Amino acid sequence: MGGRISSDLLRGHTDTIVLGILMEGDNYGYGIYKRIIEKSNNLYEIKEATLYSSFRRLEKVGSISSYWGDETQGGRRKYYKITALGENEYKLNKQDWEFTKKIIDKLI
Amino acid sequence: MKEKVEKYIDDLFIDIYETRQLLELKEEIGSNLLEKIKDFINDGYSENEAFNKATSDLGDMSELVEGLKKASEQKMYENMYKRQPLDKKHIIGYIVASAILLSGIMVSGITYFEVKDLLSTVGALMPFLIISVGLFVYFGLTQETKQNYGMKRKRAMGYSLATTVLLLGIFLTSLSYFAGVELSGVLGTLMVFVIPSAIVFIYLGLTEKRRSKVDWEKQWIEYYSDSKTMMIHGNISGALWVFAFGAIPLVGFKLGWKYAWIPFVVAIGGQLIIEAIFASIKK
Repeated sequence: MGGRISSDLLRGHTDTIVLGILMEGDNYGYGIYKRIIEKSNNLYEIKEATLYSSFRRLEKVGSISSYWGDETQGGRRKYYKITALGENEYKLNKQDWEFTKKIIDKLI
Repeated sequence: MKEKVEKYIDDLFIDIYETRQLLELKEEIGSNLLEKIKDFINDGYSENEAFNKATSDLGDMSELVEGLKKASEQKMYENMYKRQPLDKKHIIGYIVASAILLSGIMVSGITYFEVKDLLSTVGALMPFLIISVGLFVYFGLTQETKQNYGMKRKRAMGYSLATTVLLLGIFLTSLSYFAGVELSGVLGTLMVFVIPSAIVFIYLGLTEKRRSKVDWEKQWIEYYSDSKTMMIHGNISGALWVFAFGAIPLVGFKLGWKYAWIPFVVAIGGQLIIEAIFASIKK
């Protein structure tokens, strides 16, 4: 069994992956990054640049909102919070994916 | 390490104008990166290794950079073509203020023809003038324009009141002067009004927040980023005020305390000239 990851396919779902992690609770950039590695059992290490683009996109359409933490040491963390709109988007995307997965499983 | 990370991130976004949005993004990336480096160091990497490993994992920032550039260009375009219609409150406010001013002019005109006395003419105009100027200041400051958001109501009220008090002071002072009151008494009257309004102005001025809509665009950067001019500007103003405050006791002891306010007024004039010169340099 090969362990090659189709990063294109994964990258296409970055926004949903981020929303899924924010469904667990508010989180910040590096926290989300670590959570993705953890959730994928070390199989997928996302590029931070991809994450930041995703945050910008999601915040612009109102799926997430952000606020600064009050850490004093090191630097302030920028936390993200999922909105009602984002939760809805997450559910829809997940349904779409389940449906697509079924078809792909049948086709290949 | 913090400086090294900041420098690295600055270089990443070197050809984008420093906007508030970009500053926040840089801070966000910086704090995340620092935490990641710390984790690598805890795993046993050396500082340098940890830095190199963390930064090489960042990935391709070009999409982010392009997105920021496009957003700032689009915003600038929108601002250039969007017209801001006046809202009803401001239209009514301006009309009322103008009406009060006009009635003041008419009343003082009538007064002049009736009594032929300049002092009573000015006296008749003043209450109208003061109220209408107060209204103009208030509505002018709270109005949203193409470049600026409106000021908060309380703050605008503060400016408006301070202006009215100042005008009232000037009016009463000139009145007492023409009525033949001694100069020290005249100045005393002036001070009672000028000092509270100056305190309000200074307080409001120091706590002023940026209301500009274009604050993260080119102009802003070109305006503020030239640290050398800013430094010269600050030094000249500082020198001016040090001299002014030094001159006050000097004048006071040498020529009499009656004249001690003169350096202060001269310094205000000098400051205004400095502002004008630097504003024209910046253009």
